Amino acid sequence: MASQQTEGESRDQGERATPDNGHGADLPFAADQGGMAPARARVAKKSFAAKVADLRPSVKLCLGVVIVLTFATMFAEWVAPHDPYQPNLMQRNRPPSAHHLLGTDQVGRDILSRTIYALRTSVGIALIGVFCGTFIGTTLGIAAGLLGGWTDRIISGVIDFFYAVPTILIMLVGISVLGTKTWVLILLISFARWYSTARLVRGQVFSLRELPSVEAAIGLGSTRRRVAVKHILPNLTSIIVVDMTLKAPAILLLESTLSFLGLGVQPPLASLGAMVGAGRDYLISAPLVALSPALVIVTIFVCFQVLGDWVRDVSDVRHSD
Amino acid sequence: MNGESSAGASTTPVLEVRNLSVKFVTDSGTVLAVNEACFHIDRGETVCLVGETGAGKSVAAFSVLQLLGAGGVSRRARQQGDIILRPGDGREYHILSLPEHELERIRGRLISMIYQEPMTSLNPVYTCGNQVAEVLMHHARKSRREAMAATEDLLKSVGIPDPRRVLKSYPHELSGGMKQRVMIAMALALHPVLLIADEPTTAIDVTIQAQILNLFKQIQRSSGTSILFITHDVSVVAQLADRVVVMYAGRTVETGSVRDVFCRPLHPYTKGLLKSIPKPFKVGEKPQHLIPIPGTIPNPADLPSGCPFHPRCVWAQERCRACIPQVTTPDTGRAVMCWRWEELQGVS
Amino acid sequence: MLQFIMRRGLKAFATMFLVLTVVFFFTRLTGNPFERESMMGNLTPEMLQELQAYYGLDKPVWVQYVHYLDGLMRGYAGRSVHRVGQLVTEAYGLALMKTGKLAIWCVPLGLIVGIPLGIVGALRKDRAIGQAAMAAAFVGYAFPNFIVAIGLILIFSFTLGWLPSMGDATAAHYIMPILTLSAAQIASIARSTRSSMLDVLSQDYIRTARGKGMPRRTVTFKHALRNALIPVVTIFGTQVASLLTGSMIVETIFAWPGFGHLLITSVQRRDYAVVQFGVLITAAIVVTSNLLVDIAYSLIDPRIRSEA
Repeated sequence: MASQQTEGESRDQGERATPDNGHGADLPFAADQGGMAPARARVAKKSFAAKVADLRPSVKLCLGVVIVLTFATMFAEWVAPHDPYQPNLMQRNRPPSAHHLLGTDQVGRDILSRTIYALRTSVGIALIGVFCGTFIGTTLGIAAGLLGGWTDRIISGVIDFFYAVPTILIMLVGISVLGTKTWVLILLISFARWYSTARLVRGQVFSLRELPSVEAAIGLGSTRRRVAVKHILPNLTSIIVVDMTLKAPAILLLESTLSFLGLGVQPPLASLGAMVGAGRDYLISAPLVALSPALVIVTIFVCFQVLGDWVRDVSDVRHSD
Repeated sequence: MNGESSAGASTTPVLEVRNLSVKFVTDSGTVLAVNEACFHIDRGETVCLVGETGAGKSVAAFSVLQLLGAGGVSRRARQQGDIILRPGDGREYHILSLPEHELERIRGRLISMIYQEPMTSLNPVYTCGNQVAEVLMHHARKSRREAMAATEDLLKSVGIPDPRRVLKSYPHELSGGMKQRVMIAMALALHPVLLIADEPTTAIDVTIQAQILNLFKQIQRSSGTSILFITHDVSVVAQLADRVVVMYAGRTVETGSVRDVFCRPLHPYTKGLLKSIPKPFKVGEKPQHLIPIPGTIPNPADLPSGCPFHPRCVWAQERCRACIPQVTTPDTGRAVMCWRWEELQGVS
Repeated sequence: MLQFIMRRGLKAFATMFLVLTVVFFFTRLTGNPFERESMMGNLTPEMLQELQAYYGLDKPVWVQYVHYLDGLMRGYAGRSVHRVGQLVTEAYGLALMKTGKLAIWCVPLGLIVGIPLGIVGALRKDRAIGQAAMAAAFVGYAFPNFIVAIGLILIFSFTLGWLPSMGDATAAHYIMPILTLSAAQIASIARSTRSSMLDVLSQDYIRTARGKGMPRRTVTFKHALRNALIPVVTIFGTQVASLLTGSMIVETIFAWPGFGHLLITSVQRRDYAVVQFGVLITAAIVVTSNLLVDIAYSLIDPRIRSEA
């Protein structure tokens, strides 16, 4: 019985009461296949397109949005109609028009273009954070799990330490020491949330260590590194992926919040949070400066949430086999 | 003999299941779990519902209490037919058409059920005493003290050696056999007219199984409770049952007294079942060949045409594939669903 | 049980000590603010000397550390540079009280709104009202707190003119900060309750309870809820931490002179003594609340109690 804290769907009540049964045989005298697969009508392997069409509408919508946003991020130069950094003091705080779809900000820059570039910056930084953090966490988690002993104790102690202090606080201290510069933010973000991955990985490595295949490999003399790469890593993938989907919005939020407070990405570079922060003073005169990036942030979060749940549902099903 | 059978009881059976069909509508199709099942249970009688896993026995049993889903009837279930309860005070309850609050008055009081998995069937955050007493406090309106005292007696009567300790214990502190006893106590607290037992010994150690079975025999002797005992273990049937109902692919293919069905099975499936049971042999004797029935049970979402057993039946004919056999009742309380039962009498 | 508490308490203490040490040395890494000012030509060498002596910054770092620890044990945590000479402890005392006035509303709000939303979301999960309940909770999750804050200000202060957007003078000043802070809490508690409820409702013992003839309401609230709330308790522990971090943003936006505001401004101004102590307090609160949650968990779930 899974007692994970997944927000997956409930098991369907009807199917639970359905008797366990052998599955259907294609032909009356087919050989016994054993197993206790749930009874389902025979289903041909669906094509990829059919599987996509099968998804819930909310998941499809979010996937679509993610694709659009990814496209905008990667091809910002072609998608954005104007130069986001070019001030134009003759066109300050203009409302939306045909020329500037979302209007202009307080120094005349096109809001839409700026939002697109800000999206790219935010996403870029968030990705750096996610991947670096995951990398660090996985490495340390594996080290702690495989090597045990003092290595484990030290690493666990460090993990506990980081758990005790909220990440944003660590960032704040780091920024206060190193200064409010963009590179500082990026550096600090790369260490964000490594500890959640580390703890997960460590736990998993501990249970994987007991696996007969791993014991056999060690017994046959594989070096630790080989064991780590060949046996442990593949089993960690699903956990790490789920963890990444959990972390990503948190890291994005972190960057947005810091930039909002003026402590993150520095002008002229724009990030979504920074734009919201800058737009705060112009809520009445040019609300779109703040609202446009805010909307993008919310959209991203919503999509993360929906897709994250979906990823967790999908990987859950596989675990319960 | 096993339990008491009141004479002439077939006129007013405690439970009558008529043409019960239960199907579940799922995303991948309709699953027909129970198909026109018919059987009855007389007062004080023990009826065993036998069949392989997946034959529909559990679903039929849950249908009696309308528990097809954790909280009540699942929205995906469609039921047809009639289930009639006659507790003996002259009233008749047609279970399938009762509203929820009426059902709540029947469950636990007139019909009780114990389940296959004692490990997960008790609430982990309340003491065993609490959970048993709850039935008394709710249905019989007893005070907490009265209920707890009665519970202690109940626990003793089901063979729990230290009832006072168990009263205060949590389920996870007890063994599987003890938990099952607690559930039995809970089920019998209000002297229901019918006790449904869904494979209660399947998930327990073999040595404890025997104890639980003895407990059931004791219940049969001392109370007049009718028992619907679901199992796939034919030896349990031999020990406990007065009558047997054999189910296959959701249909009741044969019914009769234990003696009749075991000694003179009429349905090919029953014959096959009995042949595939290992029998002990004496030293020096040749062990009997185990003859399993070829093939597997059909997928309830995709049943064969005609007789559901025909794909695996050695004696199957064209008629068997084409039409569902009628149910014939060669004798009172004896029924079989097969085209060729008469000619196959005595053949094994 | 007592052993368990003591062991964890010790661990907590060790963690806090570590936090303190790391922050202390880390903030000293880039020199002190006065040297910087001096390099910029704003201070004469004599002024530099004086200031450094006053703030104890002229001694080697190790000595400063020992002095700090010593001071801590006597309840002294240094003085603020920005608000010249003010005792750090005093500043935080005031600030914590102000933040407390907000937090004291947010915690119960989170439970009182969050748990019912979660229950409705679980019991009516396929109906409109269930979806609506979760959508409402969702707002707290999808909208980062600074966006909620700005949104509220835009609507209630600038457009409707109903509520003031800065300061903490009147009761009306409380409304928007509390709403903002609680939004995330409510979302989190609601989602956790719902998922836990759904899990519990599909368990065998719920079927047993129904099979005994227990009415729906009893089964939901007596049998299911108690089991479902167990994991929610752990969520609750993380809420304390998020309240603290949330207060940093919310107080900054609404100019609420509380703990978070003090911490942020001290970071911006490189007021190290203040930053240090703030980090220490945060760590202390987080660690303590985690400990309390663990204890509560073992009290609620009899299965854990036997193991502890």
